[in-house]
Amino acid sequence: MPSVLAYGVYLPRHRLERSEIAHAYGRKGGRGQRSVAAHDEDSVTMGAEALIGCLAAAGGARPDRVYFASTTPPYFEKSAATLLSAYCDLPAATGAADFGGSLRAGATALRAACDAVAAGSARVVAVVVSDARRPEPGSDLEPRIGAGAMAMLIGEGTGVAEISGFYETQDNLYESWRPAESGWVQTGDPSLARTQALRPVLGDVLAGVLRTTGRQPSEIAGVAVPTQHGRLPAAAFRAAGLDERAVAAEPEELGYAGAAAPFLAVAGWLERASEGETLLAVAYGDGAAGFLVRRGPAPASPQGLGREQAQATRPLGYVQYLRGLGLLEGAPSEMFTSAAMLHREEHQLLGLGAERCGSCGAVQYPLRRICWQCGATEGFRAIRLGRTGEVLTLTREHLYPSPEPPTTMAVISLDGGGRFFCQLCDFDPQAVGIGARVELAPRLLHQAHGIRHYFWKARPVKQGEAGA
Amino acid sequence: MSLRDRIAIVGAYATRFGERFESSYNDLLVEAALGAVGDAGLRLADVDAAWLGTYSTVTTETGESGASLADPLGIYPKPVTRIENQCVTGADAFRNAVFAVAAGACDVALVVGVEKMRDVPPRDSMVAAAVQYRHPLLGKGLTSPGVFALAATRYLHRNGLDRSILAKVAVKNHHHGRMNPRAHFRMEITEEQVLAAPMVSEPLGLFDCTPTTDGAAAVVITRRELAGRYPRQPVLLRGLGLASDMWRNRYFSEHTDYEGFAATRAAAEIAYREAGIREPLEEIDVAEVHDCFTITEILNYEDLGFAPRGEGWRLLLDGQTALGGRLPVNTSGGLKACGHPIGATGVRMIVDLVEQLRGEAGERQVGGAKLGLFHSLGGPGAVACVGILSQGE
Repeated sequence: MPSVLAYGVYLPRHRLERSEIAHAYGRKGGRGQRSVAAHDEDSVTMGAEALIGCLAAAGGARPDRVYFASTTPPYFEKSAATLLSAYCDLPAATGAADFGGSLRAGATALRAACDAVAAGSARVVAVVVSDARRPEPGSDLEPRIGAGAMAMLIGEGTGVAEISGFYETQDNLYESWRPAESGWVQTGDPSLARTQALRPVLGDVLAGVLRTTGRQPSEIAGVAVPTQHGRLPAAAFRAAGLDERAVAAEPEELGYAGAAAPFLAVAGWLERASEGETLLAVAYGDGAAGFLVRRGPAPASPQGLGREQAQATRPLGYVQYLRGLGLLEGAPSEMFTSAAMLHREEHQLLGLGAERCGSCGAVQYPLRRICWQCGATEGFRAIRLGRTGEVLTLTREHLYPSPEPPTTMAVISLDGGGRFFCQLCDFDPQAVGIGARVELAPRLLHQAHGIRHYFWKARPVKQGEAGA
Repeated sequence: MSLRDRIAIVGAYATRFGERFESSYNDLLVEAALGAVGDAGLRLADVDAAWLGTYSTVTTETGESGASLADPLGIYPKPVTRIENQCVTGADAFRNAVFAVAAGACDVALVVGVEKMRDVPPRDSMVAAAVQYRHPLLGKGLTSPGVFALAATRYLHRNGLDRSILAKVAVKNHHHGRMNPRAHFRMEITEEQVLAAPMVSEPLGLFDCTPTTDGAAAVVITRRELAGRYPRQPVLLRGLGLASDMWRNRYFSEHTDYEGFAATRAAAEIAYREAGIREPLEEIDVAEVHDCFTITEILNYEDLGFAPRGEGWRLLLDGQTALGGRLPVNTSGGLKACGHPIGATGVRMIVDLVEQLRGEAGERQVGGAKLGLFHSLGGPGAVACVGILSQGE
């Protein structure tokens, strides 16, 4: 039976107070904080974080396919799964497919992966579900949205969980949608959604999974069914004979993470559940897809939701948040770029490919024909740069245009040799100085000529934490 | 082959540096060229060959190729060559002219350094070079002050110092600049003003940085034995070194320690060897060094051997490098107060030293100055040039 062999989770570090959103529109109230993808994050960088963590947790296992699911891919035409593969330095012969178009795209991708594994056409499929939706500022949806990503390696064998019992329905209601010509998510009448979609559709799928798998409600230890309208009405559970108290408490306080929401809930449950317990997870969107997750004997991922929730967070003001939504507006639009260059150097830029001189041992990055230290012209060994290191020196740069000025540039002495020079992200300026421990994180630098320029930034890690 | 005492500078001139909105690239260039040629008692037609130092053709309306000099001067068919070598452009134009004269290829060479940096939108200038151009990803976020700020952070950390030591460089050079009628900035500033200025690339604030400036400078050189033909007291070249170091890979390799510039050390070694200098702090009377940012001047003290490593800052404490001190540095006001029209700067330094060695520097004259040093740094750190000039007979 197809299993989750390993998984990784990523939650963005930025938090927006809901009361601050309310205040901006002269409204009262607003409880808690929602997660926000920073101006330099998108579904690809978050997905890459999750997949890198997943691959680290898998101890070197490599997928033969990458499935990416999101309602917010960076391009209409250009594969995000392929971008992810480059970030993870996966071989060119790795298959790639993109799923989208609906909030249930993650479940669709997972089902396709399970089918491929069960059919024997794929050995291990990486399923990456990542979403950073853009609700219209001032809309009811704005405080309810969050962001995040989960990556799973799906294959045969004993793992963290077995996946089975897919049951899927369609429903053509305008519950939420994003027209091709608009950047904002639109939502319909919330009462219409609750009464006409959530209750009947989700109730039907909950019951459908049980019916088609022959399971009794008593065999279900937990239910994960996040929606952007909050808790599902009790009636929907009762219709399926389920106890609403069994609902897995997904990280809903951080906001509904779109296509990734059910998978963050699954991750949270996997980290609490005992071996043999079963979760019924449902992804809502233009209908719904439900499936069973049976906890296996393998330990929960060290790169899981627990680790992410334990990370230090960064408060983000509403003005900063709005500036970030403009994705680097105000940055120079005439940045030089070269598709040829990005392609030629992809292995070193996204894959962190480097070489070590066979004669003197010096790390060569960026790649060069002649060793910078000893002048050797041959005998280089391919390596990958280490992703952790220590700040050697840094500057807070006020001239460089950014939605979150100043831009901090740091020179990093990498563990394992070599140095890296890049922007810092997700940090408290007061807490980062010479000697600070950092790890490299996939991030967007800027957008120019319609191309999102993905690279790496460095983010502080807590002392003693290895990083993925 | 040593260049020692083979070359004489017989004409020198620099325009007023500043926001020269009223003057074009050609206006500045022609003023400097005619000024230097006139100082040598010559006409343009007497020049055998010319070198043009201009860094950027992006920041100027002209500047590409030797034609940018030959054309406004109308000195066809004389051979004219443009030199570009980052912030060492002006000094290297001089160096190449020196080679031609020393080789006997010509008797009288004109060197003109010119840069027009203020006729462009701010985002189109040096900031743009780092922000908009260059590699699309590697080092993105780097600016000109930023690279020196990386050194400043490291230097202050290693030596347990704070920003106030940097401010002392700015205060000193503004003090000198006030006395220089050609300087961009001619006002005194206080340490408090420097420390309170807006931050640019921390720990460097606005007053830690050279301004964006227009200007031109020119010199006329000849062989030493011909120097007697010219009306002014000649200034002799005693030593000249240029050296290179890692550029783009600098930030990504362990090669760099951020505590100085190896190219300056290598260039100084050549120049000192040729000039026979062993104790630079004792032997040199006056120096013009590349203070593009305040930290750079302190690192230069160490790289040029004025002070041991980690101790250059001490020279500022008791005014040893101020006018009246042991080795006055940047009596012109330096890049800090004169500005840094890139192609012009190296040549401008030579003009300032010529004035000092002729004893014509007025209020900022270093008494009895016989031996002067100039130093240009580019890259940063990818190239440096050091020259030693002495009073001729």
